[in-house]
Amino acid sequence: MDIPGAKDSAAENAELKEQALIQRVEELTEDIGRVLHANSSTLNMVRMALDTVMNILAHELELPKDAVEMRADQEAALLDRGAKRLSTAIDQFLQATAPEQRHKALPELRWQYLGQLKDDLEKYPEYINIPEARASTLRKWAAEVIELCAEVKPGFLPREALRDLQRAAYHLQKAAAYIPVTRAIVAVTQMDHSLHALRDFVTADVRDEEAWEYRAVRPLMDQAIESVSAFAATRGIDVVVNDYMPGIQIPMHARDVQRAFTNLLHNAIKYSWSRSTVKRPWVTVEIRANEHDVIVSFTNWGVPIAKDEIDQGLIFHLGYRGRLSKDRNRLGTGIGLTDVAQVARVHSGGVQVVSHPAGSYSKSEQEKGYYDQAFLTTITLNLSRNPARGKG
Amino acid sequence: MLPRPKVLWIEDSARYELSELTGPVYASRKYVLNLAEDATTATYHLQNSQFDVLIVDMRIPPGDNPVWQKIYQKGGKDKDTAKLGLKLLRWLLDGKNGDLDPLGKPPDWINPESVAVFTVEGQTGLQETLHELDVRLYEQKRATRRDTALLDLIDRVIGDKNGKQQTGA
Repeated sequence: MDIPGAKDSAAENAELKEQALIQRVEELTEDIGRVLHANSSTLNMVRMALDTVMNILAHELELPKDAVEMRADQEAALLDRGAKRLSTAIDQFLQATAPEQRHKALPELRWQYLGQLKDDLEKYPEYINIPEARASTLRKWAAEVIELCAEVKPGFLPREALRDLQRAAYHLQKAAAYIPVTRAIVAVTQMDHSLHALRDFVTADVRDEEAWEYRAVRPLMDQAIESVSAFAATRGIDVVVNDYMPGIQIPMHARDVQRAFTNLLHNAIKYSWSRSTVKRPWVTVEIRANEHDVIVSFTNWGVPIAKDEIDQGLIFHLGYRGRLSKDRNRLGTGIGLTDVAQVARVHSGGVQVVSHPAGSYSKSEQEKGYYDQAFLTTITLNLSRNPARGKG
Repeated sequence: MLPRPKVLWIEDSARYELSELTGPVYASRKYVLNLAEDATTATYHLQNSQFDVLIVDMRIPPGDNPVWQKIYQKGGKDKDTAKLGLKLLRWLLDGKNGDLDPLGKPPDWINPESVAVFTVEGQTGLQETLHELDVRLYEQKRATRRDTALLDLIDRVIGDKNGKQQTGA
């Protein structure tokens, strides 16, 4: 039996709850904008501090500064040099010290430790089977040698050999610290864009609606390139623009279109691989047009996007990150493409994604290693030239 | 010299975000560290080798195995919501997850004392399941942790196991 008035009361409750929820979402939307702004300032501080540390280390290690991000072979070479130098210094230290003086300077266990460390340094890639763990392990070992040098009782061992040992340990410690510092800079620079994109996306509804206006496409692209230039420089990647429609204008919400360009450009840079030791990698931007649309494409060489993720449109789902997208610490929020698709919709356009093997190594998805090879990925954004929206 | 205890760390961020945690483990020379970056690789290791310590993250990707992929899809195609690490623990310690039956029988050498959970998840959300599985060691990944957090956790697993053996429990 229905209780009179119960349904009305339940409906009222539901309505109240809905209103409270809407109000909460509105508050959160404004708050998150402030929180993300504060986080962005913190990231900026971290980035500047890391830059300082990196520059000091690069100077002391006499490293070239063509890009912040190091390739795996560059990291390995830096560690190899440091490990070899310390191993040689330990060897020379052991040879330069008279056995009868040794135990007056350091306990026997410490000498055994040095002997063991010398062996470990010679075959460290074998012992440390995870390559990414080598920098932190070698840094620990170097720190232990520095501590050991500080324990030596003065007057029993040749000073020069001790100084050489200390110097070699400091050198390895710096080399092994340089690598995580560069990785952290790349990560922080990526995160900075993600935070900005997230903030823009979340606060889109609370901003005043932008008016439609006729704007040239190229200056917006140049601004987008400028806004990702620090990230591109960090990764050592160039941006090549082929503008086949110089001066073309379309009706648009300029802020949204620029954000879409920035997102696509940032992705293209982020998912690029380094090609070789001599040639810098690049991403290509092309601006074309047909009767109906302006067509802007972004092409990069590197991380694949899996076929099913394109076919099922998963990459456009809010928060979704491609399963191959996390290689070498590529960070992201899974918002960029969702936002780009939204901007395309508003501009009566669309987004197309094509990702295929760049070479001829493996052409079938069923073959092992198919997704381990470099892919050419092109994301194309169409924006309508619809003149009804403004003066053309 | 006794062989060093073997550790399997199931963690997809071990090579980058968390690589600083591995240095102290190698530098200590106390353990042989192995890494599984997804559920498929973890299952392979567990079915083909024996480990003294298992450190498990909750949010791991599925890898290539169709069984894990299916569970991942059911879990929302997102490693944060699918929580495959938890499902892996259920398979290993509970054996009640029907979806994982195609993986075969879990290895019989594994026991809750060998396992520690190392995750970003807060303990509140996991407590009940960990209690059910009798997994007592849990550590939350936080930016304020020292670089010895992983080594300390492995030490605790080994310490607890040794303590149990000595008291005959």
